Amino acid sequence: MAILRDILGESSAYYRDMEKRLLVRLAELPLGSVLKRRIGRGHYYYLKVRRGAKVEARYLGKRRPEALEREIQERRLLKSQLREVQKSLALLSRLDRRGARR
Amino acid sequence: MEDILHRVLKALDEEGLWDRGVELIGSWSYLMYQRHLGAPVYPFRTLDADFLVPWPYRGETRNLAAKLAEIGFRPASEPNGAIYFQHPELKIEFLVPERGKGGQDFRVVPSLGLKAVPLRFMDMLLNDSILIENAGVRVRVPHPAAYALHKLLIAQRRAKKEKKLKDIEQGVHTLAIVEPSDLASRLVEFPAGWKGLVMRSLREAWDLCPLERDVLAKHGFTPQN
Repeated sequence: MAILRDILGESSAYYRDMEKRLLVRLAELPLGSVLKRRIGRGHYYYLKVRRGAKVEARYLGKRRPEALEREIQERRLLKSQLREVQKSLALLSRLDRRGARR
Repeated sequence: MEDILHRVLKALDEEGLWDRGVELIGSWSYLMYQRHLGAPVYPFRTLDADFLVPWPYRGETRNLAAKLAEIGFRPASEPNGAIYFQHPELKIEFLVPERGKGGQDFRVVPSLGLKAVPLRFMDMLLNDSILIENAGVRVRVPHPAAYALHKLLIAQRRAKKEKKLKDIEQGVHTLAIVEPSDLASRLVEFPAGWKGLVMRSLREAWDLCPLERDVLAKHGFTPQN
């Protein structure tokens, strides 16, 4: 059991560290999504952000905000990873509790 | 502490197997990188430890089964005839490189009394190894650059998504302790097909391991280039 216990213990530490790093990085990334509007013959870009019940749209300009889009894409990716990490932590915690009961 | 693994490593050291080129490979060798070379923590080890044996093996005759029996391992057979060693905590398997047409279930290593499993892409690990001292016992493991490249290469041949992800993650984590020049000099020697598989894994790693993007960037792998 010692090996298995070590692996499970290290896995919890690994996921906790990952959760922390994900939260730190997520806090650095912008919220919202990029909206492209066609007005007349031109395209205009806006950043849509929900603030409570309201959705605000901030004008970004005529040029496609590629760097911002990449950051928003990264945010989505990290959020889905965070959900997986939290599911893994919950599973490990259940195993730990079950082990402690035995 | 993985006490039982330490006893196995000690037994193989006493038999002089590291000097004959035998290597600890797989997730347990990553543990050695973690402990001794500063690799980031990656805990997903399997419950079997794999040892790679040079083929053909030219070492002295050793009664490995008896040596392993002293520390509680019993030999057992896979359905295909290969022999592994079993302990309540750990399974030990011996592998040899598969070359040519392949297709054999096992290879007999008479001087060690083994029936080892032949596997593809093992030569790149066998020909590129380092010795590490772990708690007073030597152990031969693949060079981290070779290990990373091997993981990134075989990831693309995995049928199971989870195994592929684990290979890519482990490969990328290993890259953290590899010098870019060490990686580049090995990658450049790869056949084009292998290089393509490694590059595909690295491209996928950008999204699969977003927290390790700085490691990928250190080696010059970004979606832009």
